[in-house]
Amino acid sequence: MQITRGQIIRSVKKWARAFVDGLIFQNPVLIGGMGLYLVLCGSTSLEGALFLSLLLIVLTVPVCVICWLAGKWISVWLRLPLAFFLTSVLYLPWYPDLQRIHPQFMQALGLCGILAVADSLLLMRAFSPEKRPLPFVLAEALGGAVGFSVVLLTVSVLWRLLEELEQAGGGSFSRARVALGLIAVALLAALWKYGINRYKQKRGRGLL
Amino acid sequence: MNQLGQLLLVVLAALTVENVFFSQGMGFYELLRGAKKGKNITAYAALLTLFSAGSGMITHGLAPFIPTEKRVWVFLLAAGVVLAWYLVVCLVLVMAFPHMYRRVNWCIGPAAINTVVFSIPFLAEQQQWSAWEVLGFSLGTGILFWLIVWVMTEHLPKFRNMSMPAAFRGIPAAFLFLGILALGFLGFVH
Repeated sequence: MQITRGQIIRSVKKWARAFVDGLIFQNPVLIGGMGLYLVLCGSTSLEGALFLSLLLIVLTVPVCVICWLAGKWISVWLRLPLAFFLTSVLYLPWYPDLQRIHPQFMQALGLCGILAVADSLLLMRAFSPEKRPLPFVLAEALGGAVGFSVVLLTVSVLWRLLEELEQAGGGSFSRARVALGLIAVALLAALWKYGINRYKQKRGRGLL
Repeated sequence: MNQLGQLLLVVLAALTVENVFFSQGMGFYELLRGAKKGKNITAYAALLTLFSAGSGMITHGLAPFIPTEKRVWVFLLAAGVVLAWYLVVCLVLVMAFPHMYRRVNWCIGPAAINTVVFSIPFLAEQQQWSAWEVLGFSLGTGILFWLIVWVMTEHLPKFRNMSMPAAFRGIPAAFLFLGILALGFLGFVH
């Protein structure tokens, strides 16, 4: 069977739409409430946040592909342990090297650098719907990982700004890291939702 | 008696100053998931306690047998124990209590494999806890988990109130609520 140019363009458009869905309309942190631990604790340094973003993007691809492939044969209750096993196995060989090569990143991340493998953001990829085509699922997962990175880096930049303000104050921001982090994510989520609502309204009126 | 006092003190610490939810930011997805479901909260919290205590205590017992104290070995051991403990509990439930398994199968996976359960062995290693302290901390964490999910379940309909600005409805309101709760818990620390 010959694949026409039109079919290729349609497929690429579908994958791009899935990527945008994962990134914006189904953002795992701001819409799904996943990965909050990594956002709250991994955002303490900008370098650490960058490293964590890369790690999540790199781990998402194999976890998503293997879970999608295995999803046809294994039952639902075994998918979560499979995803956890995969994230651990993929991360474990790199962990000592990362500690040696980038000790400052790993130190900044602390326990967060280890617990990333058990985060909902990666583990929920275990339930990637096996009935949908793999490129579609992968594009959505990658969009989600990039969406997570956007939130993580935004919160990290916010912390950098607050730290500068804190030097003039009494050090109250870093004492309330989780509480302020949650409020910052809440405001970011509201802003995100406002943007989505506006987009949908304009689209509904045929302005876009 | 002394051990019981120690256990109660650790339970209290896990409920207040050292709670993993508001002082370290773990487990919010599991909290939101439990609140959204709104049923079998007690079973969900009990399972989380069972998995935290089980994996924490087994890792604590096996820790002296690992070759070095390097974190990578604790990582390996903790991951193996969390997985094995999940499979054991699932098999026991399926074989011995199938009715109970059917009731809780929506939450058994998220209760077993999450950052809260996986953090217990590392916290125990970091702070040199005894087996009693691991048990007490898991128990306190489970009780606090139940409390927060219960409060969230009660408030969830209010987060979708139509008089609220559309952008804040749902998840943003839930995050704000959790943030204010976390500010309240800061009172225990400072």
